[in-house]
Amino acid sequence: MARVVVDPLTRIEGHMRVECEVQDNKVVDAWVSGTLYRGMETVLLDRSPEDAFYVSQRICGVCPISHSHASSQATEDALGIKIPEGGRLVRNLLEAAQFLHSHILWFYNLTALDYVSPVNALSANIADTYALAQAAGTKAADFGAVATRLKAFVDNGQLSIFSGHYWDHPGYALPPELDLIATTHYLEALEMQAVANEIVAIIAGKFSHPMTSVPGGTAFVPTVERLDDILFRFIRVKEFIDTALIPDTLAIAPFILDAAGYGAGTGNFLSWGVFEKSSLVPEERYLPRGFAQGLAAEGVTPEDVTEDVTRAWYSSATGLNPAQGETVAKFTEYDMSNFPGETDQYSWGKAVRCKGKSTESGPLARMIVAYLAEKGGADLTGGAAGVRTPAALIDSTLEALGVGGKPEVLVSLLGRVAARNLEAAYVADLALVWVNETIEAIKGGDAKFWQAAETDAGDGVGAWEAPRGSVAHWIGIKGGKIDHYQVVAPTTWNTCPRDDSGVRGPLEEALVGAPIADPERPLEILRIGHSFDP
Amino acid sequence: MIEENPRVLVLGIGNILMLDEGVGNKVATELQCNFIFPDDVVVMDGGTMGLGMIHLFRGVEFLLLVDAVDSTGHPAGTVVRVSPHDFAPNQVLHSLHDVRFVDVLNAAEMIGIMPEADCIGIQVENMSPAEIEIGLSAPVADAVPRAMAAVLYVLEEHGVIAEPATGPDSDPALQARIAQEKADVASRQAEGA
Repeated sequence: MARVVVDPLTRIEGHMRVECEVQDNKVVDAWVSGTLYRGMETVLLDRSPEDAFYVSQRICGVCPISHSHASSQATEDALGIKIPEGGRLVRNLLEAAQFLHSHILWFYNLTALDYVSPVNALSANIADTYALAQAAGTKAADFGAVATRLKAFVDNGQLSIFSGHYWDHPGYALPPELDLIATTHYLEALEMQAVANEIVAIIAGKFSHPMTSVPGGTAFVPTVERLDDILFRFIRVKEFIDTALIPDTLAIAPFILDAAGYGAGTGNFLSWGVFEKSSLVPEERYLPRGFAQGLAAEGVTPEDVTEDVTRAWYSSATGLNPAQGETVAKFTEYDMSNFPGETDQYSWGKAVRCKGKSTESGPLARMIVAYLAEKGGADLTGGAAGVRTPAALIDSTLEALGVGGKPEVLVSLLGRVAARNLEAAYVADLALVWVNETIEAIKGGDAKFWQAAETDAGDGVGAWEAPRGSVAHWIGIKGGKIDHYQVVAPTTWNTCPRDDSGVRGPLEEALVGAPIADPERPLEILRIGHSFDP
Repeated sequence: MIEENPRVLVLGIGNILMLDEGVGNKVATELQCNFIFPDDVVVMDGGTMGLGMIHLFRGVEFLLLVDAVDSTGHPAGTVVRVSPHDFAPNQVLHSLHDVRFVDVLNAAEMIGIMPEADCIGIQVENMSPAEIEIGLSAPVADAVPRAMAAVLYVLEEHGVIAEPATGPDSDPALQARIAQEKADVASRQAEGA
């Protein structure tokens, strides 16, 4: 028995610790700890509800837009505001830009190096690399030049941005030509994220501080010229997704098929729904609201949420719905050596549950909920032309990987990786549709973008989706001031600790049973952890 | 909206919440307020964008970085001219995400984005406040006009002549001091040569 600790879990920022008990090269138990107290909910009390979307978006530097949308929706729900059509379209465009930025950032710059080795890429045969790229439908780049420059850096002993990995781990199993293609795309992805963020900048101001999705709609009134600036950027990003992200996903998958055999998690999936239709009904969103146990679909509402705090650093009551939720911090210490000691608390994340179940959220959950909805006869896109729907994307991918008709293989590490990239393709297709809809909407000159509130009191919920998972904000407003605020953030769902009954959180559960080839270099823990985009 | 990157990019970088680390940003914004540049030149406050800056360099012929530097062995407020690649041994960009600027340039270079690059550095007094804090120390604030003069001097080497601006944000006293500083830079460079 050995304890393996990964802290911090993510490459760029800290705040998340994973501790695993490893026996005979297998994880037998796991604890995931959020190591940073945020306290945003306390900050918001007694402020004007218009402040909430500015302040609460600071919870996340990658998905501030989703937080701002959930927050504004909470206020709109509380004050009985229905956002006008122009506001709906602009918010969809803004959210889409963030989804595409986030998914590209995640695959190439936050998880690809768990599978792709730039060092191994140095052995690539350049002619074979071009042949492989052509066979995979990948846009050709100057692979030879990248290899030459990469070699120069390595020869100088400078791995630069590629330092700090287990490059000699046997888990790096791709052919060097594929390593070279994916490394090239890693670098191009840095530029492509910026293009997506320029869309954000046009609509909402410089990322990561979007300023326009105010309660009531949007403060951005588009012109044809601005929409043209937006369209051309969405087209560029979509081209990258179609000629790099998707081909790379399909090319890499056959070399990591073992990842279809572990990392499944709890098998319960939540999507609050994201990308609004004119009806403003969450179950009719382009990615619809729903819950699934395994591959069986159910309805869901924010009232199904509870938060246990027995294993978290809070002294407030356990098992509350966030509408009555409290945030009273009480740090003890972190010591998992004798878990489960009665007082062992180990995370700033509350154990959030949906219908009492430990529940995964994020692209895999959304794509499964959408897939099941489509298979049940739902038309997600309203027949929009040129859009590859979740079911079409999933079925064709399963087919390409030789597991056609077996969607159950999605419930795995490999499925979680693939689902995020397939979702990016769906969102990129939709973004072009929404730009054109917006151009149509402003033609008459009477499009509305913002709706005022007519009351100053009420309770509301905004339940929406960030790229990495489900996000909901609960607000109580009295006399124009916030008197209650609670947030359940995406990563709280996926990386939460055990609940009052001792049931593990989704990431903890996904880690249990995972093979660990070398406990000194726990690459598999990184792969599983990163697959949730924590 | 800039659809094409400029020929010459002057980029002030740093985190204004960390005292003197914000000097590059200050130099960039003062240049924007006080000078008019030709159409193919852009002065930008790059903040702490890290790897998010790469796309700004595509097509740029000359990149002039303005940044806080430490461990130069000179007193606080000293303005130095260094090659960005000489930053490698000493991490210079202490952004919230700790991405070194040399890594940004390296990543850009690997996909063939390779502008000629130069850097005006300002020796800091303090860029590690215990709590986040906006503001420059006295010697570093005093160095801002000299750093601006150095930027204008280096730009002239690349055929860029900036004219004093007359807008509401411009400061004629500052412009006059910069003119004097620039003459000093030129004479010192001549002596050095």
